Amino acid sequence: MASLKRLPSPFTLPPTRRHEPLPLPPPEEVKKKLYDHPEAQRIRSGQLGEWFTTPLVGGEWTEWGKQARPDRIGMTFMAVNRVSANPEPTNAPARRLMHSRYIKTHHAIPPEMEEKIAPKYGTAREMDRRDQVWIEHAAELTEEALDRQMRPARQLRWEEMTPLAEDLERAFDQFATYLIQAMFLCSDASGPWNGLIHYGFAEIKSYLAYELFDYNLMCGLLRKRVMANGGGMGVQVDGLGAGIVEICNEASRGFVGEVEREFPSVVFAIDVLFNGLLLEMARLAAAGARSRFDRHLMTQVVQDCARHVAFGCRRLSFYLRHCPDREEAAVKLHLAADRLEPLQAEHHLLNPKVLEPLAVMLGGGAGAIAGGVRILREFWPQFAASYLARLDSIGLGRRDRCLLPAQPPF
Amino acid sequence: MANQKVEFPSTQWFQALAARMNEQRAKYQNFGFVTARAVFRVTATAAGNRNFGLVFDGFECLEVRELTDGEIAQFDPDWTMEGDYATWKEMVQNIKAHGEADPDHTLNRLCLLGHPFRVHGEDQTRVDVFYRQLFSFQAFIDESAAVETSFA
Amino acid sequence: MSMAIDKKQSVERLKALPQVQRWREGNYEPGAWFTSKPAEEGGIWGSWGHRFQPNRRGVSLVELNRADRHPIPTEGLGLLADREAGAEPDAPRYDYPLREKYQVWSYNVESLYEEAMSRQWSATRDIPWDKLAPLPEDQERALCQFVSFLHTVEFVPGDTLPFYMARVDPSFSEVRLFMSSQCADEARHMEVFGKRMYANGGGPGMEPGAEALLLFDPRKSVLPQEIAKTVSNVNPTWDFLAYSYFVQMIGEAVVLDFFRFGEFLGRNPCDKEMFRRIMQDEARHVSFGTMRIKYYLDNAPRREREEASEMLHFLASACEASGTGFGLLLQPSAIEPFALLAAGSLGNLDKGWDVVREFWATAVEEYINRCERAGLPRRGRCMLPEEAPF
Repeated sequence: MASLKRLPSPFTLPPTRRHEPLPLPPPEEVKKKLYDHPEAQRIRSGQLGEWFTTPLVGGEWTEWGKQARPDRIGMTFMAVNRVSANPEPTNAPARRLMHSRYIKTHHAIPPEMEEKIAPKYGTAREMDRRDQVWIEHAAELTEEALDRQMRPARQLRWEEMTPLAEDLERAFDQFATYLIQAMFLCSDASGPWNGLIHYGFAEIKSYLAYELFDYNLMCGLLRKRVMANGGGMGVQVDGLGAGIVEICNEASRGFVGEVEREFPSVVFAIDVLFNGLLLEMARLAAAGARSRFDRHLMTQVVQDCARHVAFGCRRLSFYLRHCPDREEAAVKLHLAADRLEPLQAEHHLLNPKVLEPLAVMLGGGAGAIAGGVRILREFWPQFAASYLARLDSIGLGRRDRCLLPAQPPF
Repeated sequence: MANQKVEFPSTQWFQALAARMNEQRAKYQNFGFVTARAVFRVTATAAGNRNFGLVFDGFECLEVRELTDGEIAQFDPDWTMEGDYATWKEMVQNIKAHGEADPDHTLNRLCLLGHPFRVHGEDQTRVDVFYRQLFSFQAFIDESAAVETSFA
Repeated sequence: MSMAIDKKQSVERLKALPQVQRWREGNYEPGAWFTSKPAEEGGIWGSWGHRFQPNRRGVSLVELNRADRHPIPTEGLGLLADREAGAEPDAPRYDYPLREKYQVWSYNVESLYEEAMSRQWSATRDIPWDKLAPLPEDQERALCQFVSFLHTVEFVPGDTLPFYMARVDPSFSEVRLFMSSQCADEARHMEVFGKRMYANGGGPGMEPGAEALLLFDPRKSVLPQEIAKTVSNVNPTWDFLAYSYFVQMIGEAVVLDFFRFGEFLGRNPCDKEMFRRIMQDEARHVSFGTMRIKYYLDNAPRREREEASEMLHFLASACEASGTGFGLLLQPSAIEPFALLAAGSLGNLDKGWDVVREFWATAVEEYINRCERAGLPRRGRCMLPEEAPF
C-alpha cells in the first residue's frame, strides 16, 4: 500500500533545504575572538547597558510606572490593555521582525539597518496592517480560547467511556475519523499563516496558536476514544477538502516569493464555512452520542468550532470595514464562496461517510437509521440558515446566491 | 433555602441557580469564563409568556430579572432560549430525577431542531455565544437538580 | 475561474448524486464504511477490536500504542487521516515531505505529549498575580527588562512550527500533536511575560534586541560572513533536522537555563510560579528536540545518517559561535538583569556576576551533555567557552 504512486501533499509549502557544511575556524580561535565580544568587554569594565542607564521617563524605557490589576477573570489581556499606552496595534508599518507593540522601538537604529534586519516577505512582517489581521474584541476572544481549551486531565473522565453496540461503535468511530481528518485539514491550512503575522498583533497570534492546538488536541482525543472502546479507525472521507485545498493554496501561493497573499480567503474557507459546517455536525453528534463521555467530547467540538467561527466572522467583518477597497474584497470573497459552497455541499454535507454514521447515531442504531435520517432532514435547513445569518452579520450577504441547499436534497 | 420550594418560572428560581453558580467558582472555572447576556423565555405559562434576562460575567451570574416582551430588545441579549412551559417543566423534572439532564434533555438536544426549544437572536454571531460557552450554560441549568422546585 | 452555476442547477446536481438518489428512494442502507471488513482482512474499514481499560492516567498514548497490535509504520501511509484509518481502493495517497518515521519521530514523543496535555496552564488564572509585592526600583527594572526580552523571543517557534507540522505524514500524528502543544506553550509564554511587564509597576523596558544590534559590528564577526548568514535567521525552508537543532536543542536549551535562573532569582511566589511553569514547558521542548535528533541518528539509513551528522556538527559550530549560542548567552537584556537580580542591589553587582559566571558554566555543560545524549558529541568541538568570557 505504501508503495503506490503518490500525489503531492495537499497544501503547498516552501521546499526545504539542508545546510551545506562549510570550512570553519578551529574552536580555540573562535573562543579567543569571543573573548573580545563587546558585551564581554563591557561586563569586564563593570558597566551595565543602556537598559539600566536610560531615564525611566523620557528615555528608551518604554512605560515605567504602569501597573495592571487582575480583573474578574484574572490577569487578562484586557487588564493589561487598560493601562498600556498601546492597547491596540496601529497601522504604522512594522520596523522590526521580533517586536511586540507593547515595547517602543529604539531611536538609534537607523532606517538602513531596519531595512536589513526586517525583510518584508517570508517573515512576520508580511501582515502588519490592522485590516489584514485585527478583529474587534481580540483580547476577549483570545482569553476565551485559552480558558475554554480542553483540559483532558481535569475534564475528561475516561472511566465514563461506555461499551456500545457494534453498529453504534462503528458509527461513532466513522464520525470521529471524519472529524480527525477535518481537524488535520484545518490545522494544515491555517497553521502556517501565523508566521506571517506581526508580533504587534499579540492577541491574534496567541489566538491562532490556541486554535491550532484545539484542532490537534481533539485529533488526539478522538484517536484515543476510537482505539480504546472496542472499535478502531474508520474510513477516510474522500473529497472532504474539496475546494478548500485549492482556495488555500491559491491564497498562500505556496508561501513562496515576494507576493501578496490572501489571508481573508483562508479565514473564510476554514473558519467561517468549514468550521461552521463542523459546528452543526458536532451539534448533531452531541445529540446522537450514546454515552456521557461521547457527548462531552462532541460538546467540546461544538464549543471549539463555535469559537473558530467567531474568529472568522470577526476577522472578515473587520477586514471588510477597514480594507482599502471593500468592493473588491467582497467580490473576491463571494467568488471563493461560489466555488466552495457547491463542492462542500457535495463532498462534505452529502458525503455518505459523514451523514450515514450520524443517522445511525441519531436513530439509535443501524436498524433505526430511518429515524436518524428524518432528524437530519429536519435539521438540514440550519446548515445554510446559520451560515447565511453569519454572513449577514459580517456584511457579506449571500442570500441571493448561496449554493448550499436550503432544503435537504434527499 | 435548600428546603424551601421555589416556583418555576420565577425570578427567584433563576436566582437560585445563579446563587449555586456563584458559590461554585472552582467548578465553573473548569469550564472557562462566561460573558453573555441571555434571555430564557418560557411560553404558554398560566400567566402568559415569561422572560428572564440573565447577565453572566467571569464565573458568575451577576443579574437576574424578569422582562416584559417589550423590554427584551432593550436588554440586548446575545441569545434567547425559548420553549413552552410544558417542555421546561419536563426538562427541570428530568434534571431533578437524574442529577443532570439525561441525553434527551440536554440544551443542545432540545434546541437541535428548533423545537421544542429554540435558540435565536438578532445577530447570529452573538447567538453563537450559546455554542461557544455551552458547557457553562448546561451546568447552570443542571443546578436546578439541587433546587426544590414547585410548578405553578 | 469560478464556474457560473445557479441555485437550481446546483440542487439538481446534488439530487443526481447516487447516494442522494438512494436516500430519496427511502433506501438508507449504510454504505461500505459500515459493511466492509477491516483493512487487515482486505476491507476498507481501518481497524477494529481495539480495547483499552482506562487506568488512573486515563488513556495515555504511551500505553495505547503499546497495546496496539499494529506497530507504528516506518513509512507514512499517505492518508489524510490518522494511521490505521482505511481508504477506498482508488483513494489517492499523498507524498508528505516528511514521510519516514526516522525523519520525525522522537523516542519520548508520546509521553511528552501526554505531559504537555496534562500540564497546560493559564497565564491569566494560574499565576498568583495577587502575591506580587513591590520590588526595589533597580530590581523591578531588571526583572522587567528580562521579561521584555523573553516576551519577544517567545513568539519565534510558533511562527515556524506549523510549517513542519503540515509536512509530517498524519500517520505520525503524535509528532504533530506535540508540536501543536508547543505552539500553545509558546503563545502562553509570550502572554505571561507580557503580563508580568505590566503587573508590578515596572512596565515594558527598553527594546530588548537594540543594544546587541548597536554593539554588533559585522566586521568583527568571529565567523566568516557567509557562515554567520546561514544561521542568522531560522525560517521554514530549513531542513527539519536542522530546525529541531536550532530551535529545540540550542535555542530553547539556553532559554530553559534562563528560566531556571529566573526561578532561582524570583523574589515572590508570583515570579517563582511563573518561571517554574514555563521551565516545565521548555524542558519538554528541549527533550523532544534532543530525543528526536537521537532517533534520527539512530535510525536513518547509514549514508543519510553520516550526512546528517556532518551537517549537524557544522550547524552546531556555527550556532554556538553566533547569535543562538554565544550571542544569546551574552544578550545584554538577559544577563545584565540576571547579574543585578542575583546581586540584590547595584552595590553588590560583582557578586551578581559571580553567580552569572556559574550560570554560564552550567548552561554550557548541560548543552554539551544534551548533545552527547542526542548522539552528537560536541565535547572538544564546541565553540562555546566552558567559562564565561568576563
